[in-house]
Amino acid sequence: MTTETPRRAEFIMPGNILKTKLGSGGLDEAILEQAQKLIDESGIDFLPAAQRFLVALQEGIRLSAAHDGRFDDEALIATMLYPAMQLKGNGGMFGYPMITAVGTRLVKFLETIRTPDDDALDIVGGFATALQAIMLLGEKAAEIEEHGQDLTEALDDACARYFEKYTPEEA
Amino acid sequence: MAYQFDQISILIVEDTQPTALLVRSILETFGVKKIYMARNGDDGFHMFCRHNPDIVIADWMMAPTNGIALAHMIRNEPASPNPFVPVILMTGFSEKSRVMDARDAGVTEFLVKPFQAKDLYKRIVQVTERPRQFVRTEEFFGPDRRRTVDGEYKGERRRQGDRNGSPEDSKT
Repeated sequence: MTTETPRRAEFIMPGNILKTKLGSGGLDEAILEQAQKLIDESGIDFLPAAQRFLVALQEGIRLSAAHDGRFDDEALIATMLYPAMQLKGNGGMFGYPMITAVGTRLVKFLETIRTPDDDALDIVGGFATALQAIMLLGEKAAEIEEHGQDLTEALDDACARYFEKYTPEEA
Repeated sequence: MAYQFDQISILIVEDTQPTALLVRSILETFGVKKIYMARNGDDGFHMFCRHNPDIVIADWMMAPTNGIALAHMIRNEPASPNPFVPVILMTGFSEKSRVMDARDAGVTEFLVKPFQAKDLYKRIVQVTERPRQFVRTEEFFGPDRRRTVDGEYKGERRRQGDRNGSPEDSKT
């Protein structure tokens, strides 16, 4: 026979002040379309922010390549993961789906590797070069879609080659 | 009848200015009149204490204080004017393990970037129409993390450790 200590968990259902204020009925579809149009045609220039994230990514690569023992592997990967995630998340919000497409693959790669060794940094460097090319073109993705697929396939192939050499468990 | 967005206030905490401006514009299009802005978790908590908004929308990765830390402060700091406020976390991460980490900090909903206007709207509807109950234990205070209904599990207790037969492991 086992004796279980009663758990002390208190469940609280707070009053729904938000619902009281908002009321009901939702939002007109036309307003949602208007809001989406605002995203699609915002005209907000994301490139200066994107270039700052790219510089941060390049700095992360440089720090990782230095192997000077100041940071552990996880911290080094984080220096690259932060800007990669920002590029992935924000690019598509401002008409740069290619930045998001490349950023998504980079985030996935950085979340899989455990050590930022030279081979891994070569791959990350390739991603940085691809991102730089997209930003230099300064064109919206629709105009570079044709080359975009070649680019993402090349990056996918590079990652696949890396993981053929190092399984994700030992990467 | 439609939602009275002009009756609520929202705090946006985002360090990437173009995104902050875009989210603000979307909310203004919805009809929100009172929008407060902050650029990191510390400023965000200060603004939260000062204005006590109805919803907080925060980015995950910010320096020096990120969105997870902000959610934790909102839920646990004595100065917090409303520890039950819905916190919607914007992030580029979509991995389950990351989502679980954020849930443990007291985040209510996630908004994976890039997102569309209707995605943001859906999160607001979710926190309004399906608010989570809160749980207070010795180790955790925040929205109940067990929204998912598992039809296959028939036991009385639903924590992972219970399923594995180890009540001690189930302490969260």
